Amino acid sequence: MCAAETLLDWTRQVIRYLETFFRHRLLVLMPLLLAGAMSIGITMAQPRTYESSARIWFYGSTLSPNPAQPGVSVADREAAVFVELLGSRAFDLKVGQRGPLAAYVAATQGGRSLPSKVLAKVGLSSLAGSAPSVDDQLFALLSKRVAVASSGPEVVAISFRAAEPAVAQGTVQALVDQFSDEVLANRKTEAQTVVDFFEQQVKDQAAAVASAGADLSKYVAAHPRADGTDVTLIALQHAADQAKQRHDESLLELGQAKLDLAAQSQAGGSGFRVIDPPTTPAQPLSRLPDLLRALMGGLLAGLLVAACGLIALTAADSSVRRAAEIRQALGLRVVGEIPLVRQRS
Amino acid sequence: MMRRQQELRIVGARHPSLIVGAPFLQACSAASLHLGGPSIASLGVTSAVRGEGRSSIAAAMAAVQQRDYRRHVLLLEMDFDQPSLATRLHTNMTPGLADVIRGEVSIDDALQLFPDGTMMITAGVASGNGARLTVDLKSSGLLAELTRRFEVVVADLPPLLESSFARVAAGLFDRTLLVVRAGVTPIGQVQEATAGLDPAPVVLLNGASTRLPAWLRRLTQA
Repeated sequence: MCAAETLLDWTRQVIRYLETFFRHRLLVLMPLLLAGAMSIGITMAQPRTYESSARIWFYGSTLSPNPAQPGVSVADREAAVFVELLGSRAFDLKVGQRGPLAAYVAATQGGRSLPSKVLAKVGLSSLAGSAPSVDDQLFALLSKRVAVASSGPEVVAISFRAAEPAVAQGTVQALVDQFSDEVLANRKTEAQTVVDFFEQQVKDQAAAVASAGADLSKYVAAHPRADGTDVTLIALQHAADQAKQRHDESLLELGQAKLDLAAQSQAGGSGFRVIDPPTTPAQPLSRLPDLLRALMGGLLAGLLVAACGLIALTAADSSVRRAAEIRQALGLRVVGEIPLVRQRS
Repeated sequence: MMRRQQELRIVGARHPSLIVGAPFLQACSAASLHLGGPSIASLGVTSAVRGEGRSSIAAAMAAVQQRDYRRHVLLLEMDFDQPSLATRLHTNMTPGLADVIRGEVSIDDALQLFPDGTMMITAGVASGNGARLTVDLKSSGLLAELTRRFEVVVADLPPLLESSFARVAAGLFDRTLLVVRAGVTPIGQVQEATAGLDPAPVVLLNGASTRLPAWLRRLTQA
């Protein structure tokens, strides 16, 4: 019985909301329509964007996957490195200065938001706060708008959108070049460290070889009759042999390290190759995806406002609409309902 | 009685039933049946505030009593503050109930006859003395005289929340019909208007409408 009454109350509430909706259809739907139209308008008012992209092949043999993460490909790892670099302000500023982006941002104030631009237009720029510096805008643009994704086990795709085709192409080129420089510099430093290490090893082991040889010579001189059964002689010979072997191994390692260092300066020594260099886009990107996204967002926001409006309208309307409401609220007997008719003049 | 009626001036270019439409009359006919139909002796029609269709419904209820039950009906206007029936029914405004209560004219002088036999007494000119006139009506026995002469008296009372004498006037009738304008009158006003009324009035919802589409109405009714 209680459940039935609750259901009845709930049904009455729903009918009341429906009644309000159908009574004020236009008013309730207005925010929805306005938000949809506004979002489309704002999207259409945005300048067309051009996208340029590059694809980079990372050599699997040079950059082998981490054994601790066998499921992560070389491309995934390098894409992550790229994203990490993009999160660095210094890297982004170098890219911006290297390509045309810094000049473009400085010339167009490209990083300012639409509300800031509108406030500036109506002379209320003080309300929008001071404009961000070119460096800040560069960092914001590059850290947020560069898309990096692995498109295979060894290929990474990088793309960037800008309002001008040359800016898009130049920025991607600058990204690739700066990445190359960073990687090369890192690897040269690493290779030089290895060379330094093995040079020191060779030096130490050469000294060890000399010392072991001297010890052996000294012992042989002191014991001219010592033969192959002399334990000390055998031990000294063994030590001298081992020292020589370690020295030879270190010499080999040093040679390899020097080779690696030399390879960094050669073409392709960076461990990757740009297989699709960035080109200047001829056509702007389609607006359809942006429009759909904006429309969905606008409709969602409008729906929220419309729902709030409907709730407010229903709550504000305390008028009697149905006989059942009088019976329920006041306990009065209702003898009839006269339908709404146009009174004769 | 017939002779007296014939002596009365037939007035009213518009019969009470003509100021409302057929669906309106039909709904009033059903409501009248719920109220007792041919057994009603006196009925006061009131509302919480003005503009709820009180006068139209009073006229329609009188017309229904005449049309459906062939009863001898008096439509009595008691809204001394803002009388409107004379204008709407195209009858004479005076002499009216106020003049009868003051003793300036007789009941017969104030009666106005419609072609179908329905009679009406307009409020007349109260000159701001509505409350005094209502009290005098109560004490004079004039209403008893009217209920004796007519089979049913349907009164157009003033609105309960806008007139100081509406509650007194409502108390003079066997049944009180409260007109509530659907979608306009707040439930709080209805509650305030009916508080303390004894006996509790019955309600007639006027202008009930829905904007729900037919399929949704069927669904909600189910």
